Amino acid sequence: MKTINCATMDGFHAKVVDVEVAFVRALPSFAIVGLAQTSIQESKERIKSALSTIEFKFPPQKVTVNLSPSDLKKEGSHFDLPIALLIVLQKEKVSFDGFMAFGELGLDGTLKDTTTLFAIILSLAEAGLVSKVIIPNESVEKISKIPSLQIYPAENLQEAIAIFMAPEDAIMIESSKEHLEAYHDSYPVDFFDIKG
Amino acid sequence: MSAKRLQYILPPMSKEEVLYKAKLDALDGLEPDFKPTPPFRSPHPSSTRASIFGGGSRSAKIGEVALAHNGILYFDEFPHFPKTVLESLREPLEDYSMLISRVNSKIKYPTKFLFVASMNPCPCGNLLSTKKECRCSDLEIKRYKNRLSSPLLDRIDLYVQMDEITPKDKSTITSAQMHEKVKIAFNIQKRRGQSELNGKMSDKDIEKFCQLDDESQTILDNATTRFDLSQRAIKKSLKVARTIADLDESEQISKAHLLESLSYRIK
Repeated sequence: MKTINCATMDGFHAKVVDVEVAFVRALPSFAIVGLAQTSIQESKERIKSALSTIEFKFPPQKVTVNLSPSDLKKEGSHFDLPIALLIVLQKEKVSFDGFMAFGELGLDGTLKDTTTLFAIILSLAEAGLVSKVIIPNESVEKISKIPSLQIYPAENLQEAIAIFMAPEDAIMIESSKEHLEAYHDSYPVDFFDIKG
Repeated sequence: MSAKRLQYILPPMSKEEVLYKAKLDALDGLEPDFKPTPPFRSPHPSSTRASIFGGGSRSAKIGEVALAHNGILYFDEFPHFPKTVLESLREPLEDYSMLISRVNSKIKYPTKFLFVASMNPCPCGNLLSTKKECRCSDLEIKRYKNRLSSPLLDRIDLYVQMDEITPKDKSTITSAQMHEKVKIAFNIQKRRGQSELNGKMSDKDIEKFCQLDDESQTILDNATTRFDLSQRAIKKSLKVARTIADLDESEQISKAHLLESLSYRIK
């Protein structure tokens, strides 16, 4: 069984979450387990719709997605991408090793940014838990501010799949390593306005 | 309001600090802007304890004290905040971190902010005025002042009484000029090899970097007995004197620096 890594915010720090999918021959159903909150439960509909746009036939099987560790509450719609990737690439010979995937899926398969994404990836980077990330194109600008990351941007689900199907063609952006003290030199309100 | 202008003259932020601020913005549901301006948070006196210190019954969330990290937390109308909020301020002000503990979740976060507060001298605001008459009774004034406990006030380094304005008052210094001086003092402190800037210096560093000559030491000892200064107050006075000396670009803390520092203590 394949697994891909994702993460969730636990209080102030991010925790790594393994996403795994099992396909069983039984009455067709789709379930997400592992204390997934509402935003993740709703991802089923987004994923189904996004998969139909790339003409992928949803397997007529019992599909169970597990988010492990199972006792940790998970929140955030950025779990859409890893779940969709696992379903699409279940039978392909690809390796998810070292990759972390984040991104919310639109009904048409486009990848969208979420606000907590930056906090999660920064927190992981500080703890040295992440090196290669797949993120929506929209998030690249802010995520690339985090030092020492290898970023694989994707505009939609199709592009994210291509990163694994054709790894040699994948575009990778190294995030900046600069280390400087930041000066600001604009004063929207000035002490000079104060008399006395 | 001068407090709002403070955030723009603070020392420069390191890249880690800018990233950290962006993380807080993201957790607060905002789009991070990566500007190197320190955060400025000014919660209203009606804010709840949980919104200021973080909390929540099921999963603990961060509050204003966390969002103000590396920046400024400003309380306008200081005594109008609920007693529970004011007394809870002691922990973040003293330890520079805060632990929110719930059965299901515990989060600890750093709270290294500059705390600024402003208040009126009495409920009607005219107590120290030379022209207007104060309408408050002694009891009202006493009640107003009693909202702030001495241990809390002891944790504040500088007290400044604002004078009434006159038509002749003029602007004196621009923010850019002030910022230049702050940067000089910042560089001096960094070069000295302190692990923290003066305000948050450890006891060990105070002993090492805040040495007084004999005359100044006598002044400090006298002040300690006369004003019944606590250990904390003595250390704070030393740190403030160090900063005044740094702004003066002086290597030694002189008598004048120490006297100025003591003049900022609460009377």
